[in-house]
Amino acid sequence: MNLQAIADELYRHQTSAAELEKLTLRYEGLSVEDAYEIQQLCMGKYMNEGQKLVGWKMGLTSKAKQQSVGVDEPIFGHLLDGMELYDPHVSLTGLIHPRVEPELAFIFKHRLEGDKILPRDVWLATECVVPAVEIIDSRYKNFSFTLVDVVADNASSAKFYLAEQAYSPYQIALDQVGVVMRRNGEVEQTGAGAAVLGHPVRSVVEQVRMLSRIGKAVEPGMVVLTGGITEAIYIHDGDRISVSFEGMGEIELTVSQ
Amino acid sequence: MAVFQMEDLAAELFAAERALRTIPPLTERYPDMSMEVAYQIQLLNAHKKQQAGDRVVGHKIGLTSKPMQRMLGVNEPDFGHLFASMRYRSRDIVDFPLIQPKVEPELAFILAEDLPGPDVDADAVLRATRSVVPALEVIDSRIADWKIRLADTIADNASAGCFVLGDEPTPVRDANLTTCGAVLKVNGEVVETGAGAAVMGHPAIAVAWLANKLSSLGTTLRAGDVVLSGAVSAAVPVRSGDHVALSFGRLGRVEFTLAKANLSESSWG
Repeated sequence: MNLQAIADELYRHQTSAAELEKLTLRYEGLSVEDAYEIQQLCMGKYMNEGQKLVGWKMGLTSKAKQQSVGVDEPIFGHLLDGMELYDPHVSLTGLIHPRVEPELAFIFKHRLEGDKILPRDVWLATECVVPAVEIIDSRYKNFSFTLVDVVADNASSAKFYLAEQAYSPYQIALDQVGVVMRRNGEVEQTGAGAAVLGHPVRSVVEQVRMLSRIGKAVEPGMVVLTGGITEAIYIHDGDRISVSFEGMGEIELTVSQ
Repeated sequence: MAVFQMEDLAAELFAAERALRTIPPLTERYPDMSMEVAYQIQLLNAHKKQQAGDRVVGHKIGLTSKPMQRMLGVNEPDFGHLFASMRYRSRDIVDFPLIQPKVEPELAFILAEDLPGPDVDADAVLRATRSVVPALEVIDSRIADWKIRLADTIADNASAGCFVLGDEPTPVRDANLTTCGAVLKVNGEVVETGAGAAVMGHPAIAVAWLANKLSSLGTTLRAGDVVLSGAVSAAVPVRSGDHVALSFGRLGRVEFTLAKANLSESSWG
């Protein structure tokens, strides 16, 4: 099977904001390994054009989401500098059916690699923790996919924004941090850090272990988005999305055409 | 609805609760049953329990989240009565007789002063509150398979079962009640998370609603009353033997084990 051709197709759909049919409906026998290969080939095209790899994102980090696609482990995707919002403002141009979710991001000062990483290794390598929002946008029709589809599509990443204020990872119990997401003043979702694999640090551990399978690592200066703390909500022109993180401030995201 | 019909329906619910069996939804027979009639049925059974020697220790508020209100097609919460016999303490083995229980993480308000309606707002609630404490409410339904509509759950004491209060109350002025995070675990696994704002934007808004609703029915929240302010996440089904723990960050924690053999397992698949 020509994985490069599939990667090229996904790249075209990602860059033109056009939906496509699930790969798994059209190609038989694609494995999860193939899907990660497609993801890397596709991201390679952006990097050949000059975009930089700035980190990694975890997906399917809650039991509920894993059950919805019938798996029992999370997935990951690449974060490129072109995905990062400079201001908490997102334009719908170039997006298909975007949704936003609140997350905690880790920023690293030391390299993390290998399949035997433990939480204490993560703490030693972490510079700070920052509240974040991720805008996810599946390129598949109706936001509907299987595990192989979503992995190939870079785990649905589209945009992300990190809050300006960073926090010491030791100040706050990250599993207990409460999160309230409001749209135009109305509470839409609430959750707490433990929604992410029991504790967000577990998500970083899984991220590093999964990267080691493809010979990659978390490099100094990189970001890891650990996974949605609540369900993602759809965003529309004119929405004002505010996300409060207990003891870690607030992100106000505006949405326009 | 005639008084004798309300008395019959109250008696049916009362008998079902005692026998630990379910009955078909009341709204199957009375699709147009009003909220007022449903509260009358609830009150008839509350009086029956008081006459039998049980004591009202407070109230619970239900349907405080948008998704729940949408599901039942309403835009206000409902309430039920809490009795002394329903009250447990953290780390208890909960042996309350239950049919098809689910558990909800909540914040309980303990009042220091009476809260007479009708113009109570969230600030008045906070002024009258002595402390808040994490609570696990075990909800249960006497209606088969939880097929409830609004009037069914109101008549059935807002689907109350029993409740477990934490043992370290926090003075309300020291508590952030909107972003405080709640983590619910069953047998050690995270099953739900949420934050206080899930309850109508702020749990004190729900308590204010209750004070005003009770005032319209001629009663008042009293000093010392417990108010369960509403669930901060979806309800989770539990089985006998389950260990349930709620951690509410700086507001503390509460946990219990559901006794073996106090559930009619046949009715809860």
